Amino acid sequence: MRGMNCGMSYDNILEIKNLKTYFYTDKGILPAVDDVSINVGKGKIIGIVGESGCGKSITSLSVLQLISPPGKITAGEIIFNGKNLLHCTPKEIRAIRGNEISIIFQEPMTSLNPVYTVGKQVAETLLLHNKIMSKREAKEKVIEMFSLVGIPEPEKRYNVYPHQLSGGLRQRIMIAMALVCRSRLLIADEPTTALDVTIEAQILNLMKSLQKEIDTSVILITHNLGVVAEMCDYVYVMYAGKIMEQADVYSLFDKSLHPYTEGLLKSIPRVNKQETESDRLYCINGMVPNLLYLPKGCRFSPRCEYAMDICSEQEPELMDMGGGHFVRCFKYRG
Amino acid sequence: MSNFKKVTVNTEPDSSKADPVTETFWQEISRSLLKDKAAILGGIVILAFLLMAVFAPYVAPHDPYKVSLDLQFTKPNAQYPVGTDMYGRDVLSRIIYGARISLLIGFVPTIISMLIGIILGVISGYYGRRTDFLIMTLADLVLAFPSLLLAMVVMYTLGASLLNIFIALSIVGWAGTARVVRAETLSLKNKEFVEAAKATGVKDYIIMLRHILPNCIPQLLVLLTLNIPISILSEASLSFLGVGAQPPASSWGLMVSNGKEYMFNAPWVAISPGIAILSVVLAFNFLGDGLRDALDPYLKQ
Repeated sequence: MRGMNCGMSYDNILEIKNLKTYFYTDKGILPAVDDVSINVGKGKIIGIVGESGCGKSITSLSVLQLISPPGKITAGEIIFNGKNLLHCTPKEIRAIRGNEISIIFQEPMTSLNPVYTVGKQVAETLLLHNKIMSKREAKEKVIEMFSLVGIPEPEKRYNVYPHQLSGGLRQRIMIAMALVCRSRLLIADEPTTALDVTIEAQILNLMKSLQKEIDTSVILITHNLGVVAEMCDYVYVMYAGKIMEQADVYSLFDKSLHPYTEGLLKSIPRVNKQETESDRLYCINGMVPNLLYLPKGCRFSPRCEYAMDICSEQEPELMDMGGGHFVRCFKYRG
Repeated sequence: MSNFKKVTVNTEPDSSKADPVTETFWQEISRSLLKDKAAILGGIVILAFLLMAVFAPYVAPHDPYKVSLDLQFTKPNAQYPVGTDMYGRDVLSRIIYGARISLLIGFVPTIISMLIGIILGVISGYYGRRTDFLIMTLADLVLAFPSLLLAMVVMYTLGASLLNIFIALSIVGWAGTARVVRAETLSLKNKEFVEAAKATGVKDYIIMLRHILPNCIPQLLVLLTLNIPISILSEASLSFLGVGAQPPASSWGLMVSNGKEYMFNAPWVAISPGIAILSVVLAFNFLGDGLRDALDPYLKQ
């Protein structure tokens, strides 16, 4: 676990180094991703957690350079498999998209083109990256993939339009599409947020078993800490465009250090409460700040229970707490 | 922390909703179109006129160009069902032959202008920014100009011929389509499936061609059925004003134009081609309305 975060690159499939993705809006510069470094080990599942609007999705879209104006990647490196993606030509990037790095989006309802059958859409991805493959081969491969992701009667489903499928099945199709080229890295952007709980569990289990089978690495973006506990090896907690805490999943849940992580953990509704706990659901006061008007000092300080004077003056650095556990908070200084 | 039940994967279907009723888009459209009586009537009338135009030499009872001055202004009778005109030519035969020019002008410039509109519209909407500004300014210019006047200017400059009518009507007609397609593209390009296509490494032009345009088909179909009668009417107007089809060719607009002087003595000469124009235009509008209703779920999407 330790080697993963110390900058030793040989066992990392993806290294994001000091990434800055800014949006140049009419009202000013919006630092959606501000100096973020993330390492993804081979065959690992990495979690990125945080509230809505804290830059999780922008980080993942930056990896494939799917940021459209006014957004721009202004600094940093994205090393995938030893190659800096930021130096690639558009053609090289297209060859990587969907082939070596795939994304699953949040909304399975709108992620599929309504005018083509689902089989055709998945086959198209396959044919796009395998110029020599015949259509019939592609169809066989797609049907094989459909049964792998647990779609009943895959031959029949090949010729079905997206609106004829339920949300759960559509997300399975999306997963099939993402993995049909045996991608080395899968970015799952809140893959289960739009699904109900039972389907969510099925999809997560499916992803986990496929990840082992295909031996792909996964970046799982979510705001659900339950999902993180279930799935991830290593977790990054993001807040307002910055990493606040990063640790392997056990130490994050056992001894979370950052007040924000602590707040997130306390905010999970629980059925089996202790007598001493209050009946009210805990919540972190306030809201994610508008990134155009960031508070001075620590970005979390206005909402922090432990805020000290220094917190609203200086910005804390990410501090190594040992064991691969990093935290950005003045509480642990010195 | 984990409140998920372990569920065995790969075994259970997770929904019963996915009933594979594999009804395609076109099957669905034709099914609901067949319930609409006005649309069926429109379709039949259009088909009849089309067949009539194609098989004109077999359908027409007389030679449309044969002048016989002793037959001037024959009233409608058994031999000449809608009478003859000032040169003694059979009006019915001329209408049947005139359908060729009128329908050709209904379809060809409409399709050309819509193709131009589709291409410019999708590029404009997809790339946005300066490209969009340029194309849309051009479209605004065309739309701001009275279209008939613009077409007349083109016809005067190029001279009256069938090809020039095509050119004139295409220049006038593309802007409306471009606007509709641009608006559709703007909303479609932010849809997740377009984003997903980009994320799988699809090229821009393929995204436009295969992911955006097919989703515009409902709008384009309705637009087509509305633009065809507009073209037919424009041709009639141009011919009426003398810059359209030239004699001795017979187009409906020209026939109305020629017959207008004898309106009180021989009304059938002007009125019967007028009725032909009216019925084709109405038929297209009925079909268009029916199509719009049939496509409504798609348009609302």
